[in-house]
Parts: sequence; structure tokens; C-alpha cells
Amino acid sequence: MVLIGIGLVFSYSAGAWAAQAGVADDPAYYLKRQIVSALVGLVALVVAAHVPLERLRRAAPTLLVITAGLLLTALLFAPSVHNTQRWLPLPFFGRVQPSELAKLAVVLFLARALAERNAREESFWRLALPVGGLCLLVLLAPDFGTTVFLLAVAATMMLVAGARIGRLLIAGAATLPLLLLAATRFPYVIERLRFFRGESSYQVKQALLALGAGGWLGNGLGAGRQKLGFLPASHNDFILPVVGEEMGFLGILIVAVLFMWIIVHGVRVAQSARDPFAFQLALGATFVIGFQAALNFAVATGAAPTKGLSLPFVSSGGSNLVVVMAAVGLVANVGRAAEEPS
Amino acid sequence: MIRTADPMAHRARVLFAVLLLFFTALVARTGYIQVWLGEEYADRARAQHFREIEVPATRGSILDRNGRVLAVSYHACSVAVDPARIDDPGLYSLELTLQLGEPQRARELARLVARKKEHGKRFVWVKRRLDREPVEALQDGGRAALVVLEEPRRENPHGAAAASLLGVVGDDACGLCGLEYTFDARLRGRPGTRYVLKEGRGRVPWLLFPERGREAVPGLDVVTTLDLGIQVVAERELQALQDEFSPRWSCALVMDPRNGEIVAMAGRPGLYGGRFRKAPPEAFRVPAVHCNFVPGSTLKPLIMASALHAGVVRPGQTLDCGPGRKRFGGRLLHDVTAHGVLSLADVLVKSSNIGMAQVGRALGMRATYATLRAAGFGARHGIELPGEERGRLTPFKRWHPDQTLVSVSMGHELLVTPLQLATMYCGLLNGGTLHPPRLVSRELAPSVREPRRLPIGPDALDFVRRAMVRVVAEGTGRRARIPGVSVGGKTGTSGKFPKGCGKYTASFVAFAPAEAPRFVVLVVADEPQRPDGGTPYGSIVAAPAAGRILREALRLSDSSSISSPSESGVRLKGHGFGMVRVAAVQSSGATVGEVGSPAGGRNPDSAGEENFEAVECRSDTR
Repeated sequence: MVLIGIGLVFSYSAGAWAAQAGVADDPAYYLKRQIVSALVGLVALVVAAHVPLERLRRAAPTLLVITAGLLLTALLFAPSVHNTQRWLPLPFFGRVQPSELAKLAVVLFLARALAERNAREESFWRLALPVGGLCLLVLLAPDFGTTVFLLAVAATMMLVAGARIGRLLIAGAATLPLLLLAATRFPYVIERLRFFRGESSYQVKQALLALGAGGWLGNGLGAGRQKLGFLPASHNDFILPVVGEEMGFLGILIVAVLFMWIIVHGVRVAQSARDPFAFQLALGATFVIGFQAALNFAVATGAAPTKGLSLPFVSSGGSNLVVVMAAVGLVANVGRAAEEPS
Repeated sequence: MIRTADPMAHRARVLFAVLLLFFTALVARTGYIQVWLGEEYADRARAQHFREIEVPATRGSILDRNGRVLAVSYHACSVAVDPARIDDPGLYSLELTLQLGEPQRARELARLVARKKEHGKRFVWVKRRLDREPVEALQDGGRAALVVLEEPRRENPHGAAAASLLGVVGDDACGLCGLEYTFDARLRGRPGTRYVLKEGRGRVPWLLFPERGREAVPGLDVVTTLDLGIQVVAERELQALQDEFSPRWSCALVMDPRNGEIVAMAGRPGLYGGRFRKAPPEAFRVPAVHCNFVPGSTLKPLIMASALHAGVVRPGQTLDCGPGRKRFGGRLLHDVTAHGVLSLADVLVKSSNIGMAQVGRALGMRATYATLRAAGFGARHGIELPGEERGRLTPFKRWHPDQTLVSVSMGHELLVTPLQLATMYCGLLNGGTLHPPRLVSRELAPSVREPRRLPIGPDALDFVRRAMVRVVAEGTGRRARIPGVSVGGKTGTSGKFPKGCGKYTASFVAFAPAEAPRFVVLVVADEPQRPDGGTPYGSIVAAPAAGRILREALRLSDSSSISSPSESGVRLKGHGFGMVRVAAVQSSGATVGEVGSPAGGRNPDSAGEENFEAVECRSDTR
């Protein structure tokens, strides 16, 4: 059932970025890359859906360490792209973004840890510290948006697991100075925040224009004009306005409903889970998808500062697609396990 | 299995409910933006997506009175290069300029291309407004960096014929001087607009929407009163005069006294065929309109006629002009020779200064001044050319009976333009109606003033007209005689200040047929030099040219009255410049064939090399 839903979203997304692919010299450049990523993602999905949950549980800390290692490697050795070091070159695949992998790693790790200890007093810091360390590595990339996102995912999972809100607030307070420091260290963050507070940024302005130009029904697939160099990053972070311009509010509604459906379904699957690990895993994976989608909506409509978070499934961007599909696979895995007779 | 009552599940439900709520709110916000505020954003989006670009209209032609083309626009090819596609600017520029026949520009172009390449610029003009053939030859070379654009080019197919008068058109297709300037609004047409979809960051427009935007409305033609054939003759004669006497400036003006139409207006120095970039400032002048001169004796018939009309002198009267010098107040006046006692008509025929001084004194200051004003001196006629001069009259309150009055009677102490003088003659010879001079039809020049009456009766006019016929028949204007035609005329020679400096302005007015003149021809030459060093009298410098122009004008107008107007599609053969094809855009329907150059060479763009034999079109068509 989950798989069918994903198929829907996925086929939709294919249409959307096929329409906006004229950005590169080869009109199908992004489309091809996205198809390759989708195939890889499909493999990831199937694998994630079929690996026994117990094995995943045991692999979780290892994955965290591997991710940390990748992040560190990127930080130290990777060539910088757009003045950041978020990408790792990979043969045959172009490059990957370890910070995307970090989302999965955090979810798996926390699911396992929370299931074991129920997030009681003495264990809290043991959970928080590895996650915090990982976040620090992401932050240093620098990738402010993903850091905040990871922290939010972690906080949510802990909260669900029964962690005291007060303690979470203390942890939050502890990270706050660090975040502030980072914000002052990386001027782009301040810039984005300032843009958000006052006059909206060029990107957001253009995003709003695209949405407005779409109206109810949109200008038709491929007829969007904002993507012609007006709206930056129209093929990834700001794909939503392109959808809005070409398919109108109706298209946006469809996308939103699909995401909500994924969220609702994910929560249902989680509740049908047999053990706390599966429960936490399904919940975390769902949250990764749902929260990212919600944030992307917020950014695209000017309701939140620009973050550099893509819209799951729809935005082009290989690492993200693979990771998000793997997350879907995890949810499906939990769902399958629940249906199997014990 | 996790129970629904489990606090973990509860917390999860609450959290995800919050997430869903958040999501719903965002979707609602999107809807608000898209649907509620949609139109406003959509307008702003459209404003940045489309750009209106201007499509230039085809400029109207300037035609002569028979519909023959004097100035026409057609599509020429401009050549530019894209520096980004040139690997070796030096070599490329050398090749290109060699092929264009201007290797001397190679270095300059190479430097320009290299600099623009460095700055990432992608456009450098090489040469604008070329003919199609050489550009096609360039393109055959398969140069990827070559950019060829169509631009309108203004061409005067008849070279220097009336070139300064027609004026020039600048690079941005607007008239800069002459008729091109005066009638710019009419000629220009209304540019069309085209909407193009553009990309962000101002990149090249890449889609056209023919269904939106507006068609360009081509400019309208301007039909002038000029007669190309007579104009060409005037140019030729003036060039001959220029070659022989090398005056500072000279002009030949042919007018129709019956309506004030200017049939030909030639001037030297002048432009050549709309080419103006290297022309000296004087070349832009139309001397007939822009130059003042002291008319001298050519003014005398007006004063004489006015005095006759006033009754202060009588036709049968004689005047004693004595031994060729006579004192007026404190001034000693001279005649060329001792005339003795002269009849009133002979005063004009022999152009006696002493006689005219007496006539002027008889007329008086007030009447003389009024006559000059009535004849249009000291004021602009409002001819359809920018910058018309008004000449100069001494303000009446400064007139002195011994100085001003005596001087003005013999055509001194005032400045006139050739146009004013010719117009005055038209009035004298058509029965006293002063038609404002015109270069275009009345409909095109609504601001032209109504004709005025000269305050001179027909008897007085008749008297001076007949005296002027005698000037040519037996007096100073003999060199303007035309066999078989009764011609009238008047010479003028005025010495420049200071006295004895040896500089003169020579002029001659001729008209024919004497009984009912169809043409008035005025030739003026400023500071001409006789090869033999003698005094350059109007009779010697200007009269022969005026006579020949008059003769040709009569002949051409006779033949043109026979040829039907439909024949006005003139075929010009032989000369001009290059082999320019002007089978071009002309709303008039008149076509001009090919115009070539005697030298067979390229662009003789400086004045002085023109050859007008070529364009004697009337004799070809006859």
C-alpha cells in the first residue's frame, strides 16, 4: 500500500521536473540524473523494506559512525562547492551529500537507543551526545538548515519516547549558543534571517510571483516562466513554486494531500508496530519526510527563512531522493513486519 | 504491539497532529497567495517576463515633384562579431578587414575585440550599413563569430544632388538636418512593438509573439517641389562655377514665380549623398537659406519699382549721373563709367549707383524701409528647413538720409539671404504677389504663410521687368542670353568691407520667358576669384551659370509637359557610387534602377568628385 502511494508521488514528481529541466544545456540533464537517483533510491527502498528489522537495529550505531566518518571526510578533503563542503565525490554517482545520510542515521540510532532505555534519566545524555556530535559535524560543513532539522527530528523522537520536556529545553538551551555562534560565523545565515524579517529575499519574492502567476489551475505543464532564470534553484529547493505556477493551486493541493497521506499512513504504521524500535523507526522516518516537506512549503511561501531543504520526492537532488526513498522503505518494512503473523 | 493507550502513542499522535495542522496552515497560505493575491503577483510576474521591443518603421522617401526618389531607405547589412567566439583576435580582424577592403582598420579592430573578449562582452560592431553582396561573401567564409543584422540605410541615389537640402539621417534613424529633420515625424512612421519572452538576468529574448504587439507603420513620403532634372543641372553649373572661381560659398536657386515653389536649390560646399561623417561643418549649410550677403545691384529693381509706384519718379524722366562720381552729403559715389544723363530705365540697365541714389532719395527713408519690409527682407520666410537666416536691415530709427538711404538704394548696408532675394524677384515678376517660398506642397506645410501683396502697382512692375529684359539684351547681363528666348535679368556685385580689399559677392538673377516668367534663377557666389585677377562682377561670374540653368530649366519643363506622369519611374544609368541597388522599399511606387559611379570606385564620400553628367535623366527619357 505504501509502495503504491510512493509510486504515485514519484510519477508525479517525474512530470514536474521533466517540465522544468530546461535549465541545463541538455534539456533532459536533470531528468536523467533524477531517474538514475530514483533507480538507486528504488534499490534502497526495496533493501530498506526487506532487511530484517533486528539487523537494522544492530547496524544503527555503525551507520552513525560511518556517517560521522563521511561527514568528517567531506569536511577535511572534499573540494568545496559553492564555498561549502557538503558534498563527497563518488565514482559513477557524481557526488553525494553525507548530511542527507545523517538524517537516516539519526533516526535509526535514536530508534534503537530510545527503544532500549525508554529515554530515562541516566540515558538522556548518552543519547544526546552522539546526535549532538553528528549535528556539529553537519553544522561545520556548513549546513545550518540541516543541523536545525536534525535537532528537530531528534527532539521529536525523544519527546515521543517520553523524555521530559524540561530536559529537552535544557538541551536546546545548551545548543542555542552554539547555533548562535555558527550563525555569526556563517554570514549567509544572518543574511537569510534578515531577509526573512524585513524585505523578503529575491528568491522568495520570485517564488511568490511564480505561485501567484499560477492561480487556481496554473499555466499548464511546461508553461512556467519563472523557472527561466528568474527563480533560482527552481529545480530543487524551490520546485514547489514551479509546481504552483504550472499546475496552479490544484497541483499544490495534490502534492500536499499526498504528503499528508504519507504522514497519516506513517503514523498508522508506527502504531501497528510490534516493538518500540519499530515504532520509533517508523515514526522517525515519517517525520523526516513530513517535516521536511512542511518546512519546504513554509520556505517556498515565505513563511520561514530560506533553509536549503528540498521537497522530498519532487526536488531534484540525488542524495535526498535516495535517503527519502529509503525512509519510505523503512516505514514499509515496519508495516510488513506488523502484518506478518508472529 | 503498541497499544493506543500507550503514552508514547499518544504523544506521537499529538505531535503528528501538530505537524498536520502546520502543514494544513501552509497549504492554506499557499492558496491565499495563489488565488487571493494571485492577480497581483501574476501581473508582476508578467511584467518581468515580457519585454516590449521596438520594431523600427521603414522611413518614408523624399521625392521630387514628379515622384522621382531623392532619398530612400532600404535594408542594409551591418556586421558585428562575437568576441567570445574568436580565438585569435589579431588574425581574425586582419582577415575580416582584408575582406572588407580596409586592412588599415585591422589593428584597431583587433584591440577592440581583445578588450571586449576580456570583459566577457559579446558584441563588437565591425561595419554598419553595408550592401548585401559583400556581407554575403563574408558569410560564405563560414565564420561562427560573425553577426549580421539588418539595419535601414538612407541613401540619396543622386549623390550630391540637393544633399545638404535633403539632410542626413543618423544611426538611430532620425533626421538630423535638412528636410529629413523638418519632416522627421512624417517620414519616420510609427515604430511597431513586439513582445518577447525574456529570461532572468536580462538574457537574450528568445521567443516572439507575433499575435501581440503592434505592426510598424511605415513613414509617409514627402513630395517636394524640386525637379530632379533641373536640380541636377543647377548642381552641375554650380560645380563648374566653383571649379572656375572657387568662391567661399555659392548657390543656385530656381523658383517658380507663379507660386513660390522652389524648383531647384543647389549649394556649395555641400554634402555628398547623405554621407556626412567626415564632412566639414560648412557642408551642412544650405547657402540659399543659411548665408547672408550684400545684394548690391540686384536689389535696385525693387527700389526703382517702389519709387515709380509712389510717383516720385516718372517713367519718362532722365537723371544726370554726371562724370561717374557724385557727392551725396559727405559721401562720394562712383559708377563704373561716366554715364552722363540717363533715362530712368537706363539707370537699371547700366546699373548706375548715382542714378539709384537719386531715386532712393526721391522715395525717402520711410517708404524705402517699408518697401524692404514688405518684400520680406529682415524676416524669415518660414521655409521648411531648420535654421533659416533672416538677413539684416538697419533698424529704422538708425537710418540716416545720406548714409543708409543712399546705400540701401544701391543694395548696400543690408544683408539678405539668396532665398529672400529670389522670393522678392518672384513677387516683382508675377504681378506683385509675394508667395512665401516653399519646398513642399501646401498640404505638407500648413504653417506656410498666406501670399502677400507687394505695395507696387502693375505699371511700375512692368517698367522694371522690361528694363531687366534690356539688361540681358544690351546691358550687363548679356552673358545670360538664350537664343530664341527673351530673358530678363539683373547683375549684382558688392564689394566687401573694407573698401578695396578685393573681395566681392557676385550675383545674378535671370528669368524667362520675359513676358510671363516661369522660372526665376538666382546664382550667388561669395568671394569668387577670377583666374585673370580681374574684378569678379556678377555679369562675369554668375550670369553665364544662371543663363545656362534657365535654359535647361525651360527645356526640361517643356519636355516634361509632354512626357506623361506615369513615366516618372526614372531609369538612371551610369554614375553615382558603387553599384548600389536601390530597387528598394518605396511606398511611392517609383523605382530607381541602378546608380553607379564614373570612377567605378568606392564611396567618393567627399564633395568635389561628383559627376552630374550621369544623372541628366530627362534627356535619357525623352
